Parts: sequence; C-alpha cells; structure tokens
Amino acid sequence: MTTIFEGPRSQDQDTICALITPYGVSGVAGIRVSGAKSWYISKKLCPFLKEQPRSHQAYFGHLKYQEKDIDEALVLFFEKGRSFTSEETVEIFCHGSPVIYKEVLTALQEMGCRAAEKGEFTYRAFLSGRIDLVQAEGVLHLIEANSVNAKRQALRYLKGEFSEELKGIKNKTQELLAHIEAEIDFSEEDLQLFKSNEYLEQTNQIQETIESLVKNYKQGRQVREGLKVGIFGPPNSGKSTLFNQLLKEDRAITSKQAGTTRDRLEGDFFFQGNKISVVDTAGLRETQDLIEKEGLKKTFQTFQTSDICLYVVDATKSFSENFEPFSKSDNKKKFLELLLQKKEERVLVINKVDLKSKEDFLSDLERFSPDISNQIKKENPCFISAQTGEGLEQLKSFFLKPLERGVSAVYLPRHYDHLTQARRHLQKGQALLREKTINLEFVAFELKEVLKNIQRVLGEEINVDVLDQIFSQFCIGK
Amino acid sequence: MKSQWDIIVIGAGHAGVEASLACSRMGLRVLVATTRLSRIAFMSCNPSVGGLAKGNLVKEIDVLGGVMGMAGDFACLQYKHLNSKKGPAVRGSRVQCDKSVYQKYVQDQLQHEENITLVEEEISKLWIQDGKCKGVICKNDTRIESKAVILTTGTFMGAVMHVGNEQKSGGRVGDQATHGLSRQMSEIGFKVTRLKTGTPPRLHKDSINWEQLTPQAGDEVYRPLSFFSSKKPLLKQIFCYLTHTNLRTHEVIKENLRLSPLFSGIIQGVGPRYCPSIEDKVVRFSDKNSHQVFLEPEELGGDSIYVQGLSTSLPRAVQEKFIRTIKGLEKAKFLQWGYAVEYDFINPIQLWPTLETKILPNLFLAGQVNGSSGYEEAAVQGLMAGINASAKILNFSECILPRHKAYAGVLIDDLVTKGTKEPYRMLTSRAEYRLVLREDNALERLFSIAQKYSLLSEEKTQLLEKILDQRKEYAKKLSQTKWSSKELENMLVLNQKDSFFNKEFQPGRTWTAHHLLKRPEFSYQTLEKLGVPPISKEVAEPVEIEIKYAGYIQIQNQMIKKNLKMGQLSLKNINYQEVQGLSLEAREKLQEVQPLNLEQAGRISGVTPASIQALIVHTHKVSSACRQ
Repeated sequence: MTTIFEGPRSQDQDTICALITPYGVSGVAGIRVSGAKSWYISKKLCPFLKEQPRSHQAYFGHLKYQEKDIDEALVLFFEKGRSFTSEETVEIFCHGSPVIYKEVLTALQEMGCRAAEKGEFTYRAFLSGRIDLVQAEGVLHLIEANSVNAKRQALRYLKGEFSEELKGIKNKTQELLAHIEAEIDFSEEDLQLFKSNEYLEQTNQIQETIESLVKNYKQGRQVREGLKVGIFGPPNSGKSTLFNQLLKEDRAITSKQAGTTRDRLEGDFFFQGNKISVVDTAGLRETQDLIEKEGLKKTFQTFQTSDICLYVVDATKSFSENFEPFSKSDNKKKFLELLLQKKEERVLVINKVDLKSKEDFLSDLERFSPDISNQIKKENPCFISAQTGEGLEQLKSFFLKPLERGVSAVYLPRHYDHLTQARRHLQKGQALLREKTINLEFVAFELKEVLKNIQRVLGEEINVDVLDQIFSQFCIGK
Repeated sequence: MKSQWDIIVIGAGHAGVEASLACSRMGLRVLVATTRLSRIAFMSCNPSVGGLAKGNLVKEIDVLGGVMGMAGDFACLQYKHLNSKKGPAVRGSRVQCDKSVYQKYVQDQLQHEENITLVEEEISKLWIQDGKCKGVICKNDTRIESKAVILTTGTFMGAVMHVGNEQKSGGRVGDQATHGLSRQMSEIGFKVTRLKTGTPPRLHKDSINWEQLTPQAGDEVYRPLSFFSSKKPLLKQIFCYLTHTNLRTHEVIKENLRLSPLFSGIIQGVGPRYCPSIEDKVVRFSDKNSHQVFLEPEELGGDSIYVQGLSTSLPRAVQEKFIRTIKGLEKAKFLQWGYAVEYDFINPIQLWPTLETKILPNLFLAGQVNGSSGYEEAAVQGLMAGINASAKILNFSECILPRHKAYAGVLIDDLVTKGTKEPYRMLTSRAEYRLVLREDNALERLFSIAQKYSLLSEEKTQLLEKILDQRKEYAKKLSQTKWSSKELENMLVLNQKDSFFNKEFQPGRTWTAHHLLKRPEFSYQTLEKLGVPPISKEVAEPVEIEIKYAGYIQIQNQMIKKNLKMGQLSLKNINYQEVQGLSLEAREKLQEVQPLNLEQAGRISGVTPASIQALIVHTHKVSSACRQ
C-alpha cells in the first residue's frame, strides 16, 4: 500500500477548531470547536459562563483571553452525540473582522486545539457513523451547489434519501444471497427456499431499482454541473448578440464584420433554478486565416461537448448562405453529420425577425423549395430577434429540454461507476440463473460483487484512495 | 527425571487422534492420555463422516497425512456426493460409517505407531512452571513432563448431561466428565464459558416398521474420501430410511416445552444453530408442519438405529410419546435416550493461529474445546495443532494455512479471529474463496505443505506425486489432441452438434479437446468416445473442472492476489494504546486478538475500515521513524 493519507485521520483524537464562515471581512464570523475537550478549552474564553451550558442553547457575553477583552460573542454548545460531528462541539460567533477571529483562533490553539484540516468536521461525522459516505458527499455538494436544483439534488444525498435506496438494494441482495447460501449449505435439509424463477424475479426487482437510479445519469450530472449551450452558425448571423442578450451583459464584441468572434467565449446565467453555461463560437466558414482556423477547431470541440446546440441563421439571408457555410466538401460533410447526430439536442434558431418577419421568411423559403421548407418546419425552429429580445423566453425553454426525460438521483461518476458495475454483475447472475443447470455458487459470486459495489458507494467498503480524494475536496471549516 | 515425551495429548477423540498421529509422523514421542482406551476415535453422535464443506476438510486431512478419510472409507456403508447437481465448488462427499469398524481402524493405526504410547489416565491439571506449560499432572498427582501439551478434551470439561429436568455429570452416555482442568485454566486467566450440544435417541432396529419408510440409496458412483483407500467400498452397502414428523409430533413437543431444559432455563450454554434440537425446530419454524427424519444404522448388522433430525433433551416419557407419533416408529423401543450436554469451552480468540494459547506457551488446544462442532472440524484442528506443536519443538516455521488454501485455514482463522458464541460448524459460505477450495483440488492445494512438514510416508508421497503428474499430463494431452471441424461433424452426436455448429462452426478451424471440454455438452467421458484415452475420474475430474470453470477460477485467483498484496502488512508487536484514531472497541478487540497482519485485523468484528486506516497510518509512521 503506497498512498498514505497524511490528513486529519492520523490524529483524530485531537480537539480541532476552524473558521466556518468565509475568510475576509463580514458582519459575523463563526468558529467551530469540535472534540472531547471543546468545552474544557472554550470555557476559558468565556468567563461569563459559570457552568457547562445547556446543549443547543445560545449564550451571549464577552470573550476574554489572558485577562484581555477580545469581543462580544454568541456561544453555542452542542453535547456529544447531538452535533454535526457527533462530538462535543462549541460554536463561537463574533464580529467578522479578521483581527477578531484570528485572535479567537490563536487563543484556542494556544490552549490546546489543533487547526482543522480540509473536510475534517465532515470526516469526523462520517467516522462517528452519523452520516455515510454518500451523505458526506452531499455536504460537499451542498456547499458547492451552483443552482437551486443542484442544491436540491445534494440535499437528497445529505438527507439520506439516496442512501436509503442503496440500503434497500443492499438488503434485498443480502436476503437473496442468504437464500442461495442456505440452499447450497443446507441442501440436505428440506428448507423452504426460492425456486429458480423466484430467484430471477428477485434479481429483476433489484435490477429495476438500480436502473431507476442510473437512468438519466447524464441529466443528473447536467443538474449538478449546469447545462452547456453552444451557439453555432455562419458568420454574422448574430451569435454574439444572442450571447450578450442571454447573459444580459456586453461580453462579446459585436460588429457587422464577418469573423469578429475568433475565440470561444463562455458565460453563465440561471434559468428556472438551473445553471446554464453559454458558449459563443467563431462563425463557420472556409478561411485561410490561421487564427480563425484555430478558432474553428475549437468550435468543433465545443460542438461535441455541448448539451444543447443552437444553430443560428440570419432570416434575411439566402438558404445557401445560412446552411452551406463550407464550400469544401469534407468540412461540410463533417459539420452536417455532427449536427444530425445531435438529435434532440439541436435547436434551429432563426434570428433577426425584427428585420424580416417569420411569415415572410417561411413564404420565401416555400417559394425557394417546398422540400427544404418542409424540412425546416420539421425542425420546429425558434424565431427570435437577438437585438430586441423577441422570442428569447421561448428559446430558453429549449435549454431545459434534456432534463425533461427525468433526472437521476445519481450524479457523481463514482456512484455511477459502482452502480453500473453492480448492474453488470447482476446481469451475469441473471444469465446464470437462466441456464439449464444452475451453478448456484457462481450466482452467489456475482451477487457478492453486486453487494460490494453498493457498499462501496455507501462507504462501507472502503478504498483508502477514494476517501482521501473525497475529503480533500472540502474547504477548511467543513 | 528427564522427560520421556516430547508431546502429551490429552484426549483421544477425533482431534486427539489426528494430533498424536501428526506429531508421531514428524518424529516426536507422544503420550496420549485418555480416560477410556475403549473410546478412542469414538463417534459420539451421527454415524457419518464428511458432508458439505466437511467432506472438503476430510480431503484436506487426507493430503496432510491424517487418518479420518481412510477410516471413513474403511467403514463405509453408504456413499453420497452431495450437491452434485449444484456447482463444482460446493459438492461434498459423505459416507455413512459402521461406527465400530471406524473406531477399530483408527485404534489399529495408533497402535502401530512406534512413537505413540496410549495410557488410560485422567489428567486433572496442567503442570505450569515459569509461566509456561511444562507437562501434566495426573489425578493421582503424578507429574509427567513434556515440551508441549495438546488439549483435546471435547465436551468433557465440566460436562453436564440433561434429559428433561434430570442432570448428571458426564460428557457422554457412560462416560465421566473431567473436572479440575477447566477450573485451573480459569484461575490462570483463560476465559472459560459454556456451550451446549445434543444428540438424538437411538432406537432398536426390530421395533421399527421399515416397510412404511422411504429407502434412501447411496450413489452409484463411488469416490473414496482418501487417495489411499480401495477404489471400491469394502463393506456391504446399505440403505438409510426417511420418515417425517407431523402435526401431532409437534403438538406433543409444544405441550411439553416447559419440561425441556433448553426452554426452562436450566441450560445456559448456547447450542449449535446449524444443528438444532427438534424442540428448537418446532419453536423456530412454527409454520412448518413437518421435518425430515433419517434413520441410519450405527453398525452393520447391529441393533442400534440413529435418528437423524430428532436431537432432543426432553424427558424420557415425552421422547417416547412424540417419537411414536411418527410414521414407522409407532412401536419404537429406545436403546438410548436423546440428551443434551453442557460443557466448558475456551473461547478460541485466546489462541494464536497455530492453536497455541496466548497466555500459556506450549499449550495447544484443538477440537470441540475450542467451540467447534463436528468430527471433521475437530480432526483438522487436532492435525494442525499437532503439526504446529511439533514445528515449535523442532524449530520449524509455523504452519498457518491461508484462507485461500484450505477450509482448515478458514476454520482456524475464523475461530481465532472472531471467536465463537455457538458451536462452529464448517459451511462453504464461510469461505470467501470457495471457488478455488474444492474437494477435487485438495491435493494441488496442500501437497507442498505436507511435504514441507514430512507428514506423508514415502509410499503415500509417491502415490500422490504420481496422481499430480497424471493430472498435468492429462491437461497437456487435452490441449494437444486436435480435430478439424469436418472430423468433428462426423463424430459428434446431435445435442453436441446443435449448440456447437450453430454458434461457432468454422469449416477451416481445428479444435482441441480442451476447447470442447469448455462447453457444457462435453465431459471427459464423452471425450473418450472421440478417442481421448480413458482415464480415472480421480485424475480427470479436477482437470475438467479447472477447464470448464476457468473464467470464474481466474477471477477468484486475481482477487486472492490483490487482497494478499493489501493485507500482508505485518502487525506484530504493535502497541494498540499508541495507535491514534482507534475507537475503544477496536482497540480492545485488536489487543485481544493480536492479529498477525492487516488482513486478519480487517476480519475482527468491531474493527471498522476507519480503524484499518488508522493502523495503516500508524505502521507507516513507525516505519518512517525507524528509517530516520
């Protein structure tokens, strides 16, 4: 074993302290002290508390250290077993000046506290068994949540809803395994056990639960990380104007000159509780310009990674100007292929309806080619004016389309990997159960792997490196 | 007086016998003390050897030079290969035995060993000097010195027998309990607690209406337990008979539960969950209207019939009443009543994996006294205690079988790492690597160990080497024998062809016998019809299984390798008080068990993954401190 985590775990008998509000100046700053000696140490700062305070009650008074006043403060005491870490905890809220909270922290450390390390409070909650690994990750993601829906998702983890579902799978698998083991080890005794079709039925139920958790995993991730919307199209179709309009700020330079945007630009905004990252890209056209060529490469990359691709055309321009930006055949083919691959994730945006109305555009197109007109209508295009903001709300509603199919509870690759592993082993077990002669010990083998993977998600089967990685993502003071 | 003995074995049951034979084979002088010479290797309970997981233990004992397999074969009245329709790794051999033939065979073996001396003597105390076991003290105060003592007293220490409310001191019908030993052990600091076991009544053969019962024949194919036995059974093969309890039986039992010492609270010891008494079964499985009862003869031509499934300690009158409600047993006459035995056992957590006690060096414990249940479990512990006691005297390295090498390793590791609260029975589900722990590959698994400790005679070694070679050769032959697709098309029968030619038929391809054997439609016997030279099942079966299930076996082997790498971190000489981050429970448990390495530590109950983490960090700190 080579990787050794030299973090908090090596010394977790210490009483630890840290600032639990952000560094810098603020109205109030909070300091948490956790560990067996947290009251023993903190009380020396609180001469106004004559005896041990009651749990979950706030007390007000003046903090003093070595006969000197520090600040007035609110002090909360949490008894062992009833705090975030499950250890005895004291929380001190003073005025939010760095001078003050540093003075408090220094005093605490001089009296025997150790400065907490990254994620150490949460780690202690995990070690004490108060929360499982999934819940610990929920804490992390709750702090990091960048949208209302991502917060809601993390809260499900923290509240243990996801853990409960996992424990359900675990219990069911264990029960099934117990039956199989009993059939193997006590085949001589006439036990009333499942028949092989009942085994299959049981595995199907487990399979369904796993399936419901991992289904729409991509959407689960999109909620956590935000949706990425890429803006593509021929030059001068108004992509950058749309970009600025969506962000409601002048980020991209716009001009009438084709090829103004050469590099990609990214910006975020929030829509119905979700984070949306918009990416503006260079216009699609044949070019000899080296910088523009580089930009084009990046455009293609963005195309691959976007959750929604907007193809923006200019209503006033001709069909070929709008839809055949590349004359050279290989680029053209490539682009069209990519666009068509993005089935439900593409939106045709017809811009500048302030200059040419939707009706005029459609009738012109009908005249140009009834076939193409039909095709375009099938795309269900969105008519907007980036300049005036017309049609923008309707466009935005397309952004959340990927989430309509439903959002999985699972949003972390770690969880997804274990669950899909579990599913793979379950399927192998099912295949064995369908064979003519059933080798029950192999079925048992596969079910044990299912169990192991579920337990890994919950942190009941621990890989040292995984713990290391998870808790090092936390900020100090959590 | 200079010691005459290297090792003293107290007790001559299945554990004591294997222990003394192992020591003798390793060249040491052994004194075996038993309270009754006529009871050596007596089968106190059921008349059979082997079974699921237990058969595996017997095969391991056989390769390690033990006697149980040979004795079982010699006394075999019926052979069964259990779970033969389930997978290859969970099959188990079991033989019904003629109890007196079994006993006689083992006694002969002991008497022929020059190094072994048998005495009829009750040992009342251990001779302790300078904190070590120096020998034994007999009831008449004679002291006998030795370099090691192996205690295999079974259920005899502080034993009390129960039938209804009647209690009598004794470890078995007709045999006295022993006192003194467990009292002394408790005084010097061993934790001594109580366990319970039981045995069913024996009925007179002529009082049973056999015609109403379902006969149960043995298997047609015979597979001896031992490599060294005759390939055919020596005694006449017999039937066992099946009958069932019914609602009336259960009613009688329920009405009289308060008279059972198990339920009235007289018996404090915990009984075997996997071998429950009939009163236990009726209470615990109250929705079941019927339980199986097997009638098994104890001797060929003898009168005594063992009633498997009806272990009980109800009063005599109740036993008679409920047994007579059962079909075929309406007029049953009792030769012996069922009874329960309560006895002292030493929680095995107090032992090293060598089975030497932690607090009294040179004292080894084996068998039921360690909280196990069953002849096979006892025998294999006796064997391992014998090997380790001898190894210690001879200055050889310890013989600790890893869990992936033998059921014996799983058994002993479980006992010394987790201790036990009830009589421990071997089950295949206790072995996490059971796909590679099969009866058929016991030889491959353990032959090198047998050689290392010289556990086999010259003759036995040669025979086993020959079988190993034949297996290797056969495997080679299978990958060298080839056919073209065309040839196969002409030779194969329909069901083989179907799956075969539909899926993978390629006209130009050649196929080896190895390829064919991987498919479910083929066995080594069908290959004979295709021209592969015939071979004994002893040689062919393990080769076939390794080929057929290569996928799973390989995965399991990879797991073993990975876990070994993780777990080999040594934990010897760790002061657990100094390890930071351990919970109080984990600290106490680690201190008690003193695991040899991280792998063993991980299996201790109460030692969480977080504690393992703390141990890793600690050993890392210590070793980096040493480096500086």
